[in-house]
Amino acid sequence: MKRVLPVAVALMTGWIVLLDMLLEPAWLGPSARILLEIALVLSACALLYGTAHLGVTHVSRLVRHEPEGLYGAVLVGALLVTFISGVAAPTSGAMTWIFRYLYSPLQATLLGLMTFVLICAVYRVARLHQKRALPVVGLGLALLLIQVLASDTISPILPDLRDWIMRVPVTAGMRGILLGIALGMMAAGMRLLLASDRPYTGE
Amino acid sequence: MTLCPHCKKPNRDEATRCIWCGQSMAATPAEPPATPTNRVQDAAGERRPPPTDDPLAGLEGLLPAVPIPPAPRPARADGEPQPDEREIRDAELLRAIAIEPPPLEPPRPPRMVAQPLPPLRVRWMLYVLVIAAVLIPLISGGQLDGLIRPLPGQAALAESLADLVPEKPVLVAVDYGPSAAAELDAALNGALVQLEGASVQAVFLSTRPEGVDLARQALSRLEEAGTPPGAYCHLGYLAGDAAGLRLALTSLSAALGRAPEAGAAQEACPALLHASGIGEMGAVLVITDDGHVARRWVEQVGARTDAPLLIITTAASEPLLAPYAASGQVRALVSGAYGGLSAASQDPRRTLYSADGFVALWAALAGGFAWGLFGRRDKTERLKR
Repeated sequence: MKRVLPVAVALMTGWIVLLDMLLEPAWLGPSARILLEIALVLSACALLYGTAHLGVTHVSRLVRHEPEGLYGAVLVGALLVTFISGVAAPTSGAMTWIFRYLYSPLQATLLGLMTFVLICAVYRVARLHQKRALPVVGLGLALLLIQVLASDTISPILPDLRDWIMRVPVTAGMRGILLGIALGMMAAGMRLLLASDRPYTGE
Repeated sequence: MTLCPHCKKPNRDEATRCIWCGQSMAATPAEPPATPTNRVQDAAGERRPPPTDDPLAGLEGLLPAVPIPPAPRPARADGEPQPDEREIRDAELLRAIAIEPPPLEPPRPPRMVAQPLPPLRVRWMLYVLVIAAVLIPLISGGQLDGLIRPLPGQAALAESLADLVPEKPVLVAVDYGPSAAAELDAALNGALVQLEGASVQAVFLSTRPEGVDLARQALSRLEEAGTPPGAYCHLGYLAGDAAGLRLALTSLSAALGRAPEAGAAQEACPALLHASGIGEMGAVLVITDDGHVARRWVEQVGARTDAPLLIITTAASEPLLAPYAASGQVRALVSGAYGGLSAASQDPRRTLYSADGFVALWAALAGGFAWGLFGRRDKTERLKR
């Protein structure tokens, strides 16, 4: 029973939602909707559980006086302040201030560093005379320039060249990735629906 | 009862093998192997005394007498033979092969690239190029914006927004983080300006927590621009990823945890009077920097509603979504990196997010590349001197 019940629940849930999505029978709609609502609540609870686990982990590091426990203290402090502000007054000025003046600048700064990383990378490639990388860097620079200045004013060929590059070689590679993702998801889904994989039982 | 001839233990009479030692009951104990002496003697038909320890005993006269050479090496006191030099050398070699690691090759001296130094004027051109990267936006003053040509996705987005009717609101999903705001905000602002011009109500929500505040920022920008408050509303965070979208397709109130009978959602968002679920919206505009989030919207929403799906995404995610646009599942796909330039160029505030900024970035990259390519030669030449 300990093994049969989780498998039965998982199979029933999966097949009901799948059939409702594919065939849309009217009699199955309410059941699928209830299951989706349960999934929504569970996902929100999982988010809370993950947050609590993160806090407990860092507090325990702090209690054990681990060398990097100070970072944990900063994390837990920021977590508590943000959590309390968000729960007490989700639309308050405090939340907006935290997001606008702490979170956004930090994340934007991290991405902004990418420009310098790129420049350093192309500098190193050129300095090391990596002949195989030189065409890649050269092509990237050419594409970047074409992307910006693909104007009929400069040359009527440039816009068509840019469109062709984006439409044929780049899309071909990404289409392959998408097909791979779709096939993998289909196989994983079928294994779950046929109970070949039972991650909920630890198997 | 029979005794085994080998182990002398009792066995049954009909037993062919001993149950104790496994030997045949019929066989007699093995005799010592016949020596050449015995074979010679048997051939001669004579009986001789049993063989002695000397293996050559009884062979007198058959073979010529050859003196036996002495032992080649003297034995040690304990009787073990003494190895000679050759055996010692072979043993040392075998031990070396088995134990010692192979010797490493001596390090090769670095190969110096002896190429001619570029002329001084070329080097100065490179330096000027890098410096100009910083100054281009100031020098150009927006002159390069005239070179921007709208991409096909931008034209499709403009057409789709122009076809909207005021009775049906548009769902705007703000699903990106602050790191992509600089890339995507311009395109989003352009789309919102167009929505306002068409008097279409906008309903904001986010399936990513950090998108909630970015949506608030977009709303505050609308307020600053003088947009009436009834023209938009913000539903907040939609949890559950694919399951949340699947539920919100038919009922936003159920997905967001608000009871529709209480009318809370309708009061907070008048646009929901016309559309209870995403499927009843006039269009769905998704702004995201994550290709997999966009793919979720395509699969869970775009495939199950007639409302056109419009996506504004980053340049990094655009190739992943291009097949959806090519197949028609996504009505319009705009890459924020380039797609927002036309919208940004209409903004009177000059920023690096413009054609000037892109050219400046290119110049910085090309300058770094050229500097690295020629800078080493310069250093090499100085070292030689």
